Amino acid sequence: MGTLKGLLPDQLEALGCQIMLGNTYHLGTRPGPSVIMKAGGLHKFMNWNRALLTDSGGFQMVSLLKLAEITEEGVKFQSPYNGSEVMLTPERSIEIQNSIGADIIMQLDDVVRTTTTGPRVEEAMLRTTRWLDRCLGAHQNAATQSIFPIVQGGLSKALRTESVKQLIQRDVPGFAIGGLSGGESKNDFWKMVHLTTDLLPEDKPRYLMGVGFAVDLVVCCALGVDMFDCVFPTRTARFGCALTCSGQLNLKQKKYAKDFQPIDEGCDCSTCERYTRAYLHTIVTVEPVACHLLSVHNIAYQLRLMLSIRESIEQQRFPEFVCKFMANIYTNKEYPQWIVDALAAVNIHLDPADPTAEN
Amino acid sequence: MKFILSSVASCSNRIGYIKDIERLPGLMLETPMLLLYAKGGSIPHLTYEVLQMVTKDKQPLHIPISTVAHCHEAVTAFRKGIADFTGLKEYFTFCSIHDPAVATPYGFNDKNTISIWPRNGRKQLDPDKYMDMIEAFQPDMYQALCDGDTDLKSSKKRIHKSIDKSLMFFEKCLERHEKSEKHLPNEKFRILHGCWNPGTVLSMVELGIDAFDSSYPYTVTERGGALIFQNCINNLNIPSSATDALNAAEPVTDIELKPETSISAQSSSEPPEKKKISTQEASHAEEDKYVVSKTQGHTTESQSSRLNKIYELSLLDEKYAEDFTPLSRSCSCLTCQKHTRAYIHHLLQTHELLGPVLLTIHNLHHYMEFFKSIREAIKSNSLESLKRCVNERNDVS
Repeated sequence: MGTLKGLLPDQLEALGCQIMLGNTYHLGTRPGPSVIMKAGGLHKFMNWNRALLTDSGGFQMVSLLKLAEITEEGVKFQSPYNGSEVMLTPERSIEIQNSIGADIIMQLDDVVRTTTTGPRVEEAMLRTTRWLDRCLGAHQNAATQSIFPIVQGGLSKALRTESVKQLIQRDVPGFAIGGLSGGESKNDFWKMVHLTTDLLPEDKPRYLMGVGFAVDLVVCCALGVDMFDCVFPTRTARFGCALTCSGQLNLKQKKYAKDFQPIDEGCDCSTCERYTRAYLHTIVTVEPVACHLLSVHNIAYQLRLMLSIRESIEQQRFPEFVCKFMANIYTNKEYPQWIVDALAAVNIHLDPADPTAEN
Repeated sequence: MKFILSSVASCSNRIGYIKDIERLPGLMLETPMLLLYAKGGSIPHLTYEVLQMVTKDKQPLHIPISTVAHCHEAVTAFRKGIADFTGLKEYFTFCSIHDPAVATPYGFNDKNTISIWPRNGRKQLDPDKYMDMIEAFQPDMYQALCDGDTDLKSSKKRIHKSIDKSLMFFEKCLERHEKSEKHLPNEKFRILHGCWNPGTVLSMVELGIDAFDSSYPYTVTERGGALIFQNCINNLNIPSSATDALNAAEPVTDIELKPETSISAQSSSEPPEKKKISTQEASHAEEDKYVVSKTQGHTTESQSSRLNKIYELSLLDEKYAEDFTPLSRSCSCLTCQKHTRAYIHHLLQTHELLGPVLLTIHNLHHYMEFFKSIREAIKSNSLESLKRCVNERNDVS
């Protein structure tokens, strides 16, 4: 929307944020590509001097709009503002993203729900490749904007493999993994991520779209993902929830009314420096400033997590980091099976709860 | 704590100083001063971090009791007072009874209590309950409980009753106050709460009011407005907002420059000499009338909203959609240095929380500069010039 939920660019810089995601659908509607171009691009419009990434606009349409009809030409839908018919083609998506001017842009892909089965999944995967070529053809700013294709294929090993095989034949600077943050089981989820990262080239960034929660981030880093995006930290801040190493705190709960600690003793963000859980309890969901305070903290938490992951990798102690991280979240050491399996697949073995169950 | 005046005339503008505050040694506040309106204990839309980007000075805060009544239990358990509880312990705090940004309903005070409207619905306070809260919150200055339920239409009987009750409440508050530890000086300090627009503020300063609150810039923010009235004396006779005017300021026609308030005027009686506790001056009737209407976007009087337009830009207006200039070219606040009207317009249109943040930063900065100008104008005897500059229409003329 051209802002990170009420925070100033100054605050985000202070937090160490390097890159922000903009929604092409929302920005393309309001204020629209013409205004953004007149402003000199989205960086100038919002006065953010670091990196920006835009998605294609496709996902919002499919998830937000009632009548989205997908054909070979593009996605046809009804404008929610005046009911007229609008067509989003690969060319148009790239045109808007070129106007917005983000550093990384996404192809328009044919998105299906993760729970979809049958021939539709293959159709979408193959069409995504054809749309990639149209996007590449329409892209005006290859020198200043990097375009990423999106791997599709649902939960089918064969289709995912084929998708990767086709996409890597194009000359692109990085790859996104799509269609995997919906309603699928965690067991299916990690297997598809693992399969895809094994097949993608090692020397180009891998961006897993729509992930996620702290646990998912850690596991997917282990599986070889480099980039993520998630609305969760700021969305949950709006509802009064704060993220910590040991889980979420819902500050609306009465038990925090006289809790005079900061959200997290170990956190050095500007919120934890001054504000207590007790005071936050009195303003969450009531005063807008509470949303900002929690957003600052939650973003600090996420960024600190990513920093710890990077540092532990650089210092060659990533497996130990993962074990410690999981032990903090699952204090009784009853780890969900999917996490155990996913990590084991890359040779990270968690301390089991029962020593006799060791493999 | 001392309040020292630098002039003696009884109904005239004056410069004063609040100093020797035990809790905050070294802090000196000059009056006429602006208290920053902080409902619920926070300045609307501003975290502490962002407040430092508006000003690093420790401005005094105004925390209306009705907006923190729900914190009473927690602050009592906390034991360190409301300023610390809300993360602002370095700040001088003043507690009033009511929220000046909201119209207070009439007719809900009875013989022994007055009503306030905190979050969970109407609450009745007698002096003891009120002082319980004050003792828990430990503000540096506070308003004694009083019955302010009068306006221009009140009957003589109502007015007398309100005075009698206020005196009685005041005695009781004073009793409780003296049983607490603090002792304070005798100078009378005059504070007038309410959403007074800049023209009215100047009229009140002329009469000798020492303090106001920032509920007015808050209500301007809430309706998507940015203050651009000239907030200092410009000797060149070109209003500093002239270039802004050229950039499509609000066209203004046929406006009578009567001072008007945009919320209910809380008038009250004049209690006798006292320590530490501030008074509320009775609003002296003048030919300039006070219009009673609700705030927060619900101005009922069209005259009031037309008048307010000379002080502010309405950023929701479509004409700003492609205006890539700052709110005000002569303003040094973060918003004007780093952002454009077009961006703010977009944020307001899409209901993004950053919109009110940017407007608050600008509006508070602008208003604080206004108060600096007021103090300078008093010292240099040029309040009349300031009044002219402030009320100057900011259309192209």
